Amino acid sequence: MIYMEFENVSVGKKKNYFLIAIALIVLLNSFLIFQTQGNSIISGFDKKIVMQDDLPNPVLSKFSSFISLVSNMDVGWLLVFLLSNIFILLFYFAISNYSDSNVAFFSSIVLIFSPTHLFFNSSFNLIFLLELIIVLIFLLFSFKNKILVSIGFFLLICASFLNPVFFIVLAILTIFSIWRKEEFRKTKLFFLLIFALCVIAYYIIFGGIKGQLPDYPMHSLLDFLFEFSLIFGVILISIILAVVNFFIGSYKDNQKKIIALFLMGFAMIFFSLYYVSFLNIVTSALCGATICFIVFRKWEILTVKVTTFFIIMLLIVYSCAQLFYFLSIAPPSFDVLSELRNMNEAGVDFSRVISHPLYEVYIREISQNKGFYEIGSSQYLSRDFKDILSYWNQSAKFDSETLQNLNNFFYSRSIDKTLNAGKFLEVDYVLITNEMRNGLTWEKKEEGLLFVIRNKEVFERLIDDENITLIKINYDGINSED
Amino acid sequence: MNEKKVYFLLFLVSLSVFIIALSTFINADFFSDDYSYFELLQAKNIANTGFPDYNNVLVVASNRFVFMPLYEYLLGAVFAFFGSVFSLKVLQALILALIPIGVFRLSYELRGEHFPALLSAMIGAFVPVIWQLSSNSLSKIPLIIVLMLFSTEFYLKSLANKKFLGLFYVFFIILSLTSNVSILFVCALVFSIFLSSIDNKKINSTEIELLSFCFAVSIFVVIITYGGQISNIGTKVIWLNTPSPVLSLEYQDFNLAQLIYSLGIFPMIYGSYSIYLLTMAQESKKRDYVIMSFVLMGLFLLWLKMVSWKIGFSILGIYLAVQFTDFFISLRSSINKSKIARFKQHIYYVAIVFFVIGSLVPSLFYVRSSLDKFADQNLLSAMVFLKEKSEDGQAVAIHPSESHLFQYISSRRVVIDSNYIALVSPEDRYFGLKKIFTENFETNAREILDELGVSYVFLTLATRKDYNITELAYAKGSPYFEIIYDDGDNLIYKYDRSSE
Repeated sequence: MIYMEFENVSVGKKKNYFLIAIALIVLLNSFLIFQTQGNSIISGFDKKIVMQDDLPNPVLSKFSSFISLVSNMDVGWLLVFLLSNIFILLFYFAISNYSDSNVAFFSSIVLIFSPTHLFFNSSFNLIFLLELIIVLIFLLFSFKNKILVSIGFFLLICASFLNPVFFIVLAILTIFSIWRKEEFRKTKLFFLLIFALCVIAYYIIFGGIKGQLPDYPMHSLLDFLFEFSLIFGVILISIILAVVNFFIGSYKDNQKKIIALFLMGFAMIFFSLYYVSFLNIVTSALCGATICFIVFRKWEILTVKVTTFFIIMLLIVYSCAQLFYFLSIAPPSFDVLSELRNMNEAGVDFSRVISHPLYEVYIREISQNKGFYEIGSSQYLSRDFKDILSYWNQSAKFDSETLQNLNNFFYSRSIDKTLNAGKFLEVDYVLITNEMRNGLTWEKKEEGLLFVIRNKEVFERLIDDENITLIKINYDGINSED
Repeated sequence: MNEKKVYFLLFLVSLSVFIIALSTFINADFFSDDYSYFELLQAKNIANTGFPDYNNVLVVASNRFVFMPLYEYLLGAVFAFFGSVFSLKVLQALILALIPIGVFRLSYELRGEHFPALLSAMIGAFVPVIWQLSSNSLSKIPLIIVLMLFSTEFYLKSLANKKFLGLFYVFFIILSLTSNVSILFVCALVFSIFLSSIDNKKINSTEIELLSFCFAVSIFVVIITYGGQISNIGTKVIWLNTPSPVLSLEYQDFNLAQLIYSLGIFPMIYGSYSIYLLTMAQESKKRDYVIMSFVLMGLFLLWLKMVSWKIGFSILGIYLAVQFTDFFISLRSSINKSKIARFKQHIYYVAIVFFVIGSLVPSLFYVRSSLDKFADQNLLSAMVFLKEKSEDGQAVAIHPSESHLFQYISSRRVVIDSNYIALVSPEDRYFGLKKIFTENFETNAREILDELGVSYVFLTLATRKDYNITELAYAKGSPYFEIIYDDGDNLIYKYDRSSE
C-alpha cells in the first residue's frame, strides 16, 4: 500500500470554512436539481416507480404506496428539493465523521455533480428514498454515541426487509465488528446467521434478489458507466479515482469497510442496474477522498498538482454537462407528452395501446390507460426496439410466442401477419412517435408496420400530426373489404 | 569512437532515411494507401477554413466525425504556407528522419554511451513495420513514434532533473492531441511503477505526480474528443467502431511469424534476451523498467486487441530498437570477459549482417513495394469521368479501400470509408456494400441502393478481386442499370430509379 501523509489545512477558521462549505454544497445541489426539474425522462421515471403497485415484496409495496401518495400531492417538488438537500447534508456529515471535513466536502461535490445523483435524486421515487435511508444509517453508525448506533442498527434491521442491499450492509458492518472485537463474538455471529436465514427466506418467498428492483437491459460489464450510453451511471474518472483510493487509505480504520461496500455495490449491479445509485454513493466518497488527497498532499511539482486537479474537476463537471445535454435531446419530447395529455382530456377511450416501451409509462399515467408491457420507461431510453426484443428473449421477460408476435407486429410487411399478431397481443391502438420513426423502432421509411399502416381502412388514424400518430386497428377492416 | 564521429554517423543515418523517404514520394504517382488522401483532404480543408472537416459529408448518412486533429493541423499549416502537396511529402520525410534521432537520444539517456545508442538509432531507423506503414504515405505513425520517444526521454530526465518538466509537458500534451496512444503511454508508466514496486524499488513522489498528470491529460483529451461518440456507440469506441469483419481481418495476421517479419528477427532476438536479462538481473535500474514496460504493454494491448496492430507493432519495433543499447552493452561485457574476446570484431560484423538481413532488407523491400501502384492512371480517369458525369451530393458505391481517393478526386459521397466511428451501424453498411457488389437479385440490390440513395456503382480492379466478381450479376438486362464507363479495368454503372 502506498501511504502518503496528508498535509491538513489550518483549522483556525474551521467553523467559517464549515459554514461556507455547507452553503456551497446546498446551493450547488439546489441549482443542479432545479435544472433537472420538468424533464420528461426524470418525471417518467418518477411515475414509473410510483406505479410499482405489483411489487412482490409486501414491505416494499407498502413503502411504494406511501411514495405514490406523497408524489401525487402538489408539494411534491418542494419535498424533492428539501429531501435532496437533506440527503447531501447527511452524506456530508457521515463522511465528515468517518474521515474529515475536507474529504466530506470534496466527496459531496463529486456526488452533487454525478449523473446518477441528479437523475435519481431529483424526483420523489423509490430509489431516492432507499438512498436516503442508507445515508442516514451510515450517519448514525458514524457517531460514537451508543444510542445513535443502536438506532442505526435497528433501522438497518427493519430496512433489510425493504431491499437486500440493507441486509448486505448489515452483514458487512457486523462481520467487521466481529472481526475487531472478540466480545460476544459467538452470540453476534449466531444472531447474524439466524437473521440471515430469515431474510433469505423472506426474499425467496417474495420475488428473490433480482425481483426487488426493476430489471434493466445491461449488455456488457461496462454498461454501468455513465459514459457508455447510459442516462445515469457512474463516471469513469470517479471509478478510477475510487480504486486509486484503495491504496491511499483516506478512511483509515474504516477503509476496509468502505472497500467492502464498494465491492458490494459493484456486485449488486448484476442484479439490477438501479443499484448503481448505491455504488455511486460509495464511489463518490472514495473519489472525493482521492481528490482531497491530490489537493492537500505536498506535491514536489506544483504545476502538476494544479493541472491534475483542474482536469479531474473538469471531467466531473463535463459528465454533469453531458447529462443535461442528454436530457435536453432525449425522447419523449414535450410535444409528445402534451399530445398524450390532450388525448386524455378529449376522453378518447382505448383499451390497449401498444408503442415503444419508452412510452408505456406515459400511456398508463397520463392517458390513464392500461398499458401493454407493464414495465418502465427510463431503462429503454434510446434503445432500439430490436435490441429490447433480443434482451427480452435472453431474459425470458415474455414467452417466445409473445415475442414472435411482437416482432411480427412491428416488423412484418404482411398485413395478415400484423393483424394476427395484433389479435394475439390483444392490441387495439398503436401509438407511433417521430422518435420511433427515426431509429427508436424503425430505421427505414417503410419498414414493417410503417408500410402496413398505409392501409387506412384497417389502420384508422385518430391523430396524425408531425409529432405523433395514433392508430385504431379495425380488425374487421379486411373482411368488410372482402 | 569519438563523439563527433558518432553525431556525424547519426546525421548520415537520418539523412539516408530522409532521402529514401523523399525519393519514394518523388518516384510515386500516388500515395501508397487510401488514408493519405483523407489526410490530404483534411490538410486542404484546414488550409482553407482553419478547421478540419468534422462533418463527414462525403459519406452517406454519416454522423459528425471525430479524431485527434494535431497531425492534420500540422499538415494544414505546411500546406497553407507552401501551397503544394510536395511540401507535405518533405514534411513527412523529415518526421521519418527524426525517428533515429529520437531513438539515439533515448538510448543515450538510458546508458550514457554514444556508440550503442548509434547502433540503436540505426536499428530504429529501419524498423520494417514503420516503413511498411509510412513509406510513401501521409501516415501519422512516424509523428506518434517521435513524440513517444521524446516524451519517454523527457519523462526519464524529469525524474532526475525538474528543469526538463516543461519539455515533458509539451511533448506529452502534443502526443495526447495527436493520438489516443497517450493511453498506452500511461499504461506503460503504470506498469513500470508496478514492476519497480515488486522489485522493492522506492517509488519516487515525482513518478506518481507525473503519472497523475499524464493520466488526467490523456483521459481528459480522450473523453472530450470521443465523449459524444461514447454515448452513441458505447464500448465500441475502443475499436473506433470498426466493423467486426474488418477487425478480424486486421488481426488475423497477428502471430509470431508476422511479428518477426514486421519487426525483424534481430530486434526480436535481442529484445527477448534483454527482457530476460532484466528480469533475472540482481540489480535493475528503474528506467530499464520504463522501456521494458512499453514493450510488454504494447504486446499485452495487442494481444487484447485494444490497440491497432499498426500502432502496436510500430511501438514494439521502436522500443525494441532502444532496448538494443542494453543488449549491446551486456553482450560486449560478456564477450570481454570470455575467451572469445579476440573475435569480438567479428561478432560485431555478424550482428551487422543480422541487422542488414533482419531489418534493412525488409525495410527496403517495403519501400520498394510502396511504389507499386495503389492506384493507376486508368482508375484516375474513371474517377474524373464519374466526377464530370455525376452531380453534387450523389452517392457512389465504391470499394472502401478506394473511398478516400475517390472523395479526394471527385468530392462525391461514398457508402462507407475507413472512418467507421461516424456511422451508426457500420457493420450493416459494410455488409450492405458487399451486397451491392455481390447480390444476384435485382429487387434485393435495388432495395439497398434505394435505402442508401446510391446513384452509381463503381467496379474497380480491387472490387473485382476482393468480391470475386467481374460485373454486377443483377444489372444484366435490367432497365434500371446502364454501363456508362468501361475501360477493361473499371466499370461504372448508373442506377436510374425512374426507369420502368
